[in-house]
Amino acid sequence: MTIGRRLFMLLVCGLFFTLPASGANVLKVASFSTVLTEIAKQVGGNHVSVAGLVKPGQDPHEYQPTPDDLRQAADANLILLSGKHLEHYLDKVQQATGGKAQSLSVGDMLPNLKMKADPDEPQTKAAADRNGMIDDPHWWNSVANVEKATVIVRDELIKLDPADRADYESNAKAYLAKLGDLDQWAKRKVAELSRDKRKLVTSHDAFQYLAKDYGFRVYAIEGVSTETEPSDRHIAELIDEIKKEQVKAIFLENTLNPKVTVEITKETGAKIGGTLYADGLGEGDGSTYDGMVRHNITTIVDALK
Amino acid sequence: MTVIALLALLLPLRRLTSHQSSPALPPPAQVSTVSRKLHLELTSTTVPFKFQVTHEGKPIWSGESTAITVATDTELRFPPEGIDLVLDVSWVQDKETAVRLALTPEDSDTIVKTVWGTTSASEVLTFTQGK
Repeated sequence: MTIGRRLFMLLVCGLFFTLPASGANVLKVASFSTVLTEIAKQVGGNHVSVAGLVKPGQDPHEYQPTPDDLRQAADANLILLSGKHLEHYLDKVQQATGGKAQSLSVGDMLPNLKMKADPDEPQTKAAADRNGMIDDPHWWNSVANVEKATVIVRDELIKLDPADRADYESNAKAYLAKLGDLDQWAKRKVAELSRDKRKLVTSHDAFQYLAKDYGFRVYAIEGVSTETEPSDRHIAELIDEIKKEQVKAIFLENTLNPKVTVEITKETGAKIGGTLYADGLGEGDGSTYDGMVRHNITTIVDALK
Repeated sequence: MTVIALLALLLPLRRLTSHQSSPALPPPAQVSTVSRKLHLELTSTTVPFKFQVTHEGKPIWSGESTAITVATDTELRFPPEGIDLVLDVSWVQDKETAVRLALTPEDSDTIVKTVWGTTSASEVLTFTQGK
């Protein structure tokens, strides 16, 4: 065999062993959450192909799956759902998949915070308990929850593809280490802000989990979902509260109309502290989970100091 | 007789009047803006150690110690919500070590927090009165 042929054979063998398990061996994952899309990509590595159906910057409260999204979900080995009643289109997904694909409502396995359901909004009202309370779906705004979600996704991938367990474990370990660093950074950054100034006024009620982790009190202009307008009475009460608590800044969100928030700043004298990523990943700084959390925490702390 | 009775009435009346004219207590929101004297005491089970205590992003106490316990006095705002102190400690020895930060506000009980580390430890510690 000539040197050229030997080199060619070596190259072919090398490609065979180093290529990802593409084609038939790759797990197809369809994700209805931008944060779960990142987790699945990070943990799955080259053993998975992830279709992020809810796109960065898209409001998950208002998202409706397209026929193509449903086709991709039906074709997947694993469907990742945010859970906690966020996917009000779940029946459509179940219809499209015929229950064949394994679906995992990650949020339903995480610690829960309750919040008052909006009586004007049929979807949240339907999900409310007898006391009118609903599960807060914004679990991703706690780094600790995202750490737990990573473990849940890792274990599910191992169940579906036990042969690649070692890779899933090692990928998850590396991602969890990054999340641990992120949480430490967030705690130190928040510690720059006096505890009596940790009053967070945001467009909608999406930051309860962050507030619990880092000692904030939340005042939201809208309720749990973004689909209904706040009442005049609620706005008037909020304006009084902002004045009483001497809140320095209130925050916009990347997926919401800032009109009402801007009106409140005029009434209260509070400034606009910046724009937060409330409902998952977005564009720019918020295109990764690490970037999203760093952006949100830095924006909040620097504006309220 | 009448004069004595009037004098007897005058004293409580004066007390009442002077009480009303004394300055009113500041509202709770203003109380938190007043600095309080605090005693800080740091104890490490391994020496020597280097340390830094940071409050609201600013180092308020740092040093190097060969003694197990070091202490200082400082003044900080201590709102009812409590305060966060960031404690960074490092040791020369690679050994599991406990380090305790005790904070005593003037006229109040001591609040103690403990962290563990090997060559270093870094933690945000929340001190709330009554906890």
